Amino acid sequence: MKRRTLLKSAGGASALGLLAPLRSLGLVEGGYSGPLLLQVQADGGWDVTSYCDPKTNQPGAPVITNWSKSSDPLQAGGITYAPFANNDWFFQKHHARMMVINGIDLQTNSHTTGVLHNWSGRNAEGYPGLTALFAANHAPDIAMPYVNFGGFGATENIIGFTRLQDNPEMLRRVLEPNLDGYHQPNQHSDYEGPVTYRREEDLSLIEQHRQARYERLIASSQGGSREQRNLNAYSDAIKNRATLKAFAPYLPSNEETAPDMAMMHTNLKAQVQIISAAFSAGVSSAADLQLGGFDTHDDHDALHAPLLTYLNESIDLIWQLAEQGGYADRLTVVIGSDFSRTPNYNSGQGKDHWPIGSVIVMQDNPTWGSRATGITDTGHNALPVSFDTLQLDEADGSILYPKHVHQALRRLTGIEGSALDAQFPFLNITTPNFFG
Amino acid sequence: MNRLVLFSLVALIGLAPLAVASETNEFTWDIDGDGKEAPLTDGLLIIRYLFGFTDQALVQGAVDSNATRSTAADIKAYLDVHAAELDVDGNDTNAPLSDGLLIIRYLFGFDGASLIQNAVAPDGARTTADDISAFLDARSGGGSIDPPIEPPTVTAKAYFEDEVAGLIDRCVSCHKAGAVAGGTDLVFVLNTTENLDTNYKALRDFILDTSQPSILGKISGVSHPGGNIYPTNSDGYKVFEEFVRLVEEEDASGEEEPEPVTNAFNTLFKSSTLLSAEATLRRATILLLGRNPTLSEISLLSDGSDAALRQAIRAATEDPAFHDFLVRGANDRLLTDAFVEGIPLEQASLEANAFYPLGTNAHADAQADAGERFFYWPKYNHWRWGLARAPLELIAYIVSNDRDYREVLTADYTMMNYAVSDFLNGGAEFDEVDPEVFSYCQAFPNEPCYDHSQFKPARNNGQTLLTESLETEETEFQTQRITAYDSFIDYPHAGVLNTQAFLNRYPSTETNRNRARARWTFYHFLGIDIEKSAPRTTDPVALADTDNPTLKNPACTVCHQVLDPVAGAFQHYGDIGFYHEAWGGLDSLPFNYKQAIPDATLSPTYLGGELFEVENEDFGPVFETSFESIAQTVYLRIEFLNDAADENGDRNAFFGPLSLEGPSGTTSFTLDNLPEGTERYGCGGPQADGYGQYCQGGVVLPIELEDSGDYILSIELRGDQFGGEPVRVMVSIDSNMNALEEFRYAEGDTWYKDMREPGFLASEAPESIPSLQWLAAEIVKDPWFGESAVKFWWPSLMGQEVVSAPEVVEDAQFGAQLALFDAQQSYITDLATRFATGIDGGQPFNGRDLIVELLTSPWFRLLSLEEANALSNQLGNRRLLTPEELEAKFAGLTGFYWGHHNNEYAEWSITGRHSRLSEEFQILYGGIDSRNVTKRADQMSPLMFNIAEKMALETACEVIVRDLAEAPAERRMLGNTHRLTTPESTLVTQVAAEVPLAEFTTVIETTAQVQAGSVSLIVTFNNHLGDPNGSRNAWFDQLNITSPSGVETTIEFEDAPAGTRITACGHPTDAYYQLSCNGSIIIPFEVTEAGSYALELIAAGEQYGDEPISIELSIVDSASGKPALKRQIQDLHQQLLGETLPADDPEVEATYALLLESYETRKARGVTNVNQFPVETCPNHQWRISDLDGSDPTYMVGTWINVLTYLMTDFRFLHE
Repeated sequence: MKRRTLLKSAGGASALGLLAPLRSLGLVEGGYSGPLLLQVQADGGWDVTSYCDPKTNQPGAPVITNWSKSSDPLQAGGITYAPFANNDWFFQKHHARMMVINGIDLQTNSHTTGVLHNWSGRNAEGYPGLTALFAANHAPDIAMPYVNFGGFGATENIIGFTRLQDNPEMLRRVLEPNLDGYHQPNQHSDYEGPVTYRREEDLSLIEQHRQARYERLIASSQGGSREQRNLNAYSDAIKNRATLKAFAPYLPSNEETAPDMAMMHTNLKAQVQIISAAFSAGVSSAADLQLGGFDTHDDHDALHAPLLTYLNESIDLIWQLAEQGGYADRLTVVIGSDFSRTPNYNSGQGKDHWPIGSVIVMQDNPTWGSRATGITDTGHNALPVSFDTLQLDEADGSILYPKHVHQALRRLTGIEGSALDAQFPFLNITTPNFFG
Repeated sequence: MNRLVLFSLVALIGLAPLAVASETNEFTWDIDGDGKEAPLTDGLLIIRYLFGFTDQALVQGAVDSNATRSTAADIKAYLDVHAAELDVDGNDTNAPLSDGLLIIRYLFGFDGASLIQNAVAPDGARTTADDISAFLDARSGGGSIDPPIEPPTVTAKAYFEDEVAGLIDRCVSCHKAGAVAGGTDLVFVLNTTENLDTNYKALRDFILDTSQPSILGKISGVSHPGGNIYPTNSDGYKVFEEFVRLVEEEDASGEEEPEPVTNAFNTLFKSSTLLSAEATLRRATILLLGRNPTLSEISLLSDGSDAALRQAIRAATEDPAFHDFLVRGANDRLLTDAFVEGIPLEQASLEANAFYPLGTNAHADAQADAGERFFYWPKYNHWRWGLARAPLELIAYIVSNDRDYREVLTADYTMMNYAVSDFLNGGAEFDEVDPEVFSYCQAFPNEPCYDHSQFKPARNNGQTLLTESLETEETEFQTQRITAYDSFIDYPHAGVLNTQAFLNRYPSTETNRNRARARWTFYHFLGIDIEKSAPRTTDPVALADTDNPTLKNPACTVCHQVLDPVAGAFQHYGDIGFYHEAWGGLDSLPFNYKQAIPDATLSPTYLGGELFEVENEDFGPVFETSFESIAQTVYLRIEFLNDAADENGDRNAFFGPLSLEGPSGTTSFTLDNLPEGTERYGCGGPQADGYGQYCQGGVVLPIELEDSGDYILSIELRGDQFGGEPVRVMVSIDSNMNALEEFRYAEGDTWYKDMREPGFLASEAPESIPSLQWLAAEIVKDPWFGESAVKFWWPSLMGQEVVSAPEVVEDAQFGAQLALFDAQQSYITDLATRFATGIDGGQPFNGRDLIVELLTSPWFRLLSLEEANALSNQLGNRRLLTPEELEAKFAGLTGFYWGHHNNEYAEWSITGRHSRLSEEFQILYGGIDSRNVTKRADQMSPLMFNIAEKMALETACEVIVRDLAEAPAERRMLGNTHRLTTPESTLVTQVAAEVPLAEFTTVIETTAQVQAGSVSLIVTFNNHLGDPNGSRNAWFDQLNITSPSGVETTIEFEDAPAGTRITACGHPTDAYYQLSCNGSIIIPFEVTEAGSYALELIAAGEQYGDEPISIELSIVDSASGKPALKRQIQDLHQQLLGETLPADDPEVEATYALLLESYETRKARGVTNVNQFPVETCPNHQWRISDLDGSDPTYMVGTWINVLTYLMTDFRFLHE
């Protein structure tokens, strides 16, 4: 079998596999119906030269990619990609949804700073991630405005985060706190239905007194104190949880959930399933998903290939479930990493840290789809581009930094011009014309 | 805008702000009208205004306390009116990063080029520094409102010699040629008397160079990779401050007096309100121990002084639960519990692990006993958990046993549980435990039954090295038994640093070379985050440098000079942390490195060369490289770099004909006859068509160059191609044959030749002692170690990380963060100093004292700040409890864990219990798994509230029912009430009894003072038992009542008076009434005369099971129980919420109102059991202990459940 054929067939295996389809239940009552944002954090520093910024070996230069010894980069629309892992299947299927932004200078080889820079837009602390900004701007009062499964999640107090894990059954158990279980008829009782701890009228009485108590506490708390801040969060938590009760049916069972893969550091597919259920139900607006393991200082190709394969399958799953859930037209997906990896292999066949990275932005049928921008040279160094034409412009162009990507994404996702945008400004920049 | 530049500018705040007159009607730069023109108030206000900030974002942290214009509206109005004055460069546009920047720089005291650089619009009317300065001067208030400056009484130089020179030793150690900061703009020479003048000039010039950041900022840790050397409240800082003042006064341009620097810590708390001693003690015990203080602890508070509070908290830390806090808090930093949360601890594998032959062979034995390869062996888990927990247990052991805290790094032992001690030959002795408690032991009767959570100090005497002595044999389960091995090593313990868990948590690689270990060592034990505090390069060329940048590139070396020697100190530990893991046991260096041919370009005498990729199998292609040389002997090195072979093939290199074209012609030669003086290395040799190289290596041959000039060397190369890459051959020319020898691995090396030597700061590790032990000893001598200890425990006590120095001056919170940073640093440095010498006369480096001191500090006790700022919402009490803390609090109050049966030992959990909060809902409730999720939530989310509410709903019933079943003195929560005390009745008396016979010989007697009116006489059956073999039932025969005047009344239970209520199942017989399940018979009785009544109850029962029948006889009158109920409510507010409230407090009244409404609702509902399937259930988490009696004849059980649910979901239950 030819290498290309092998890769294609490997990638062609449906990402959905045996996973449960999303239940098409529509929004819960009062559910959120606005724009949605999903970020996928590929933690550790992915190798974009084997992904969306393919590089081939050059005479006299160290081997940059092993795959390029026998293959050339491939093309899907306006996007060039590496024939590595299951990229061929992935890019061919999804290129129309994609804008690939290459040549982003993360200005660091340190993970901490790379993560901070890529996901907050600057390499100094103090700015929230795009997801937190998005949720605070679009949907601050819903049940789970901003979900974080781990990884970067700075909120800078503009919104709280909801931490989820990849176990839907555990989540289901707390969506309706008063529910002890669901009784099936048996020899003791032919009752079929929910079993609760307390009667609704008792709960209602407690709730009424709790609210009055909160009002007394907030009135007596000192302005600007931690107690007051936490009181507000506590009150919001109670106020905004109403829709959670109706969320349970949207979740897959544990049996329907993607199995944990031993090689993968996190169960990204399960994260996708859970957040897709939340988007479909209208209980969340933004989320950060996380897949670790990309820090491949040893045995790079062997470790990176399954990770990229899994990442691609997970992104495919995002869109499959978005279509099933009927919210694909509201969804923006951003995929990125701390930085990238060196344009050469080390003595352990690993690759070390390299400050030039890429970001992939996806929407359903965008006018800017199937395009790549940002330019790197054969040695994977960032080159200046014109922010108008997005073409190489050695004379007047500029290197892309995360702040440019973030400002463009703020514009794309409707954050630009808001009070929060002004509160966390990127100083002295021109916004690249990525998205028209 | 370069943020570092701005940050540096801001660091000057303590150095040269302006003090000027403000009383003028004209526009001046005194924007807030406080009489001064200051960069971080007036300047910041202008720049924010120009950015378009309004409201709080405009003025937050940027208005002086003496301001006459302090509101955003006033500031904006003032600037709106004078907007034209802000166009400093005269380009008709007011821009924050030109005009605003010019103003703030001006207010910082900049002039000349440093004032205008990159900040002036080229199209402006004013573009020169002179023009800009003139414009700015014209709007400056000028003059000083402060007293005239006294002329200096000493010269700066004299002051330097007398005072400063003695303080700069710590600066010189880094700021000298060749040292860490030898490449900065401040470089001293050796601090000796002869060098006083040189060092004085160096420091003076640095101070007067306005392009440099503030020396005062640097020494206090602002943007200083070396950290906080002299905090702002230290004597050293004051000396530097005075020196700066003298230098500036003597300098013609230094005309302004520095703004007085105050102790930032005292300033922050000057108007704060702190928790009382009692409230502080409670908060401390809840967070540390999960319980309220005991009466004896409270009694220690005596006068409420700080000293008494310390004593009380210290006493509380003697509680064994303190250990759990220490483990939890230490893990929040080290995150080694990742290995009990799922990450495999690679060192712990016992599958053919020749490093640990005792464990490996024990495992093989256990496999043989089990008859299978994969089986459940509890000791294996205990071994893994034991290794994983060792660093945390070490820290807990040191602190809870008042050992010297420096042992955290210097302990020459580790902590072992029984399994680790067995397998590492530790020799610690453990007592076997009761198999009834540790139920897994029953399933493994042949295994000794030990408590795996018990740790003892011991030494690792069980690791061996991989040498020729090693012999193994295959077992029947495809693993290895170690049949012979080298002697056990004397493991060089270095506290937590070389515990298996620490080393494995931060694994290394060939290219990482222990840097992660070094980074985290700095972070945890020196309090320095190198990735944050180092001046990270943003130079793309430097970042992309592949030529050993950490050694050569200044942009990288500034950090790696500090980091890499510490990485080197870990030299003896391999990628996953085994000591001298390389075959032969001499070192832990990777095979690839040892085999590698040094990079030819490292040679200082390198002339030229090239790396060739050879893809051909036959000679033919010619590879060329060029170089320039004088006439001399040069050495041509031809090296095969990437040997590879397996059973399918072999990769080899062949060096063919060569030619050298020089100024005087071309010389050709081959290698089938090597010229004299040729050196060969690796396996290879001449052959018919040249030279064959079959493993890594090559030849070095001398070539005599007779002319100076350019040369081109051509060589034909071919290779046996194999594997995924072409043959790689390096051809290089050097004028020194041995130049690369110093870079080549030699037997006996334990560290990389191309890395810095193992060491710490300016010192190199000696070879006489293991380098990690040496490093540990060096670290604990450093003042940063003490500071790091404060920072280590800060988050687990305060619920927040120590704030980092702000980085971007434009940030709205810059000023507030800087103030908070200053205040914290000031406090931390002071506490670290006291920690090192002994806090309050205690022993030096006593960890318990350190924690107690933090708990008595204003940081922990802060109730409110009079002047809140943007970051005060990170301070003070009522922080969100972590899942572990909430779990501990719940267990402390109730006696059991949510979801855990007290009588069931959960073998699969390291704690032996399976509880919902710290396991099932650990992540959903904002906790960490120490793996992927390492940041805790600090605010409640809707989902988290659901979890808290579910805990309350699922447990409140059991808590109340079990509590009320106890005698009042034994109760945890409801010791001040009784289920028969209701809003409309009060328990008069109650007597409990056991009825051991089926004959009516048991007579229960009691007397009570009873008021006239309606009362209830109640008999209750408490301990029904029934199963297919029998039933325990209570039989009530007769109740005789004698009034004060002697009137006797007899009640036959089988014929009870009208109005009698029976709240349990049962039936009358001819002679008595049988209660067949738990419940009561409630008989109305009219009391016509007040006084002492005598009661006599005759009862028997159907005996079954081990216990006699348990009954109660009670009298309840019709007076409202409100006073007693409110006393109980007061107590609950105190216990659960930490609120000490008087009886008439509105909160007590509010809770009573809930109780009353619940009672009335339930009474109206008429349901006398708290189990009302399916709408009310009472889960029994401890069903193996006993059933739950759900009877509720007076509706108060259900009522208290509602009250407890209300309190357990209260803000103050969930936040402390």
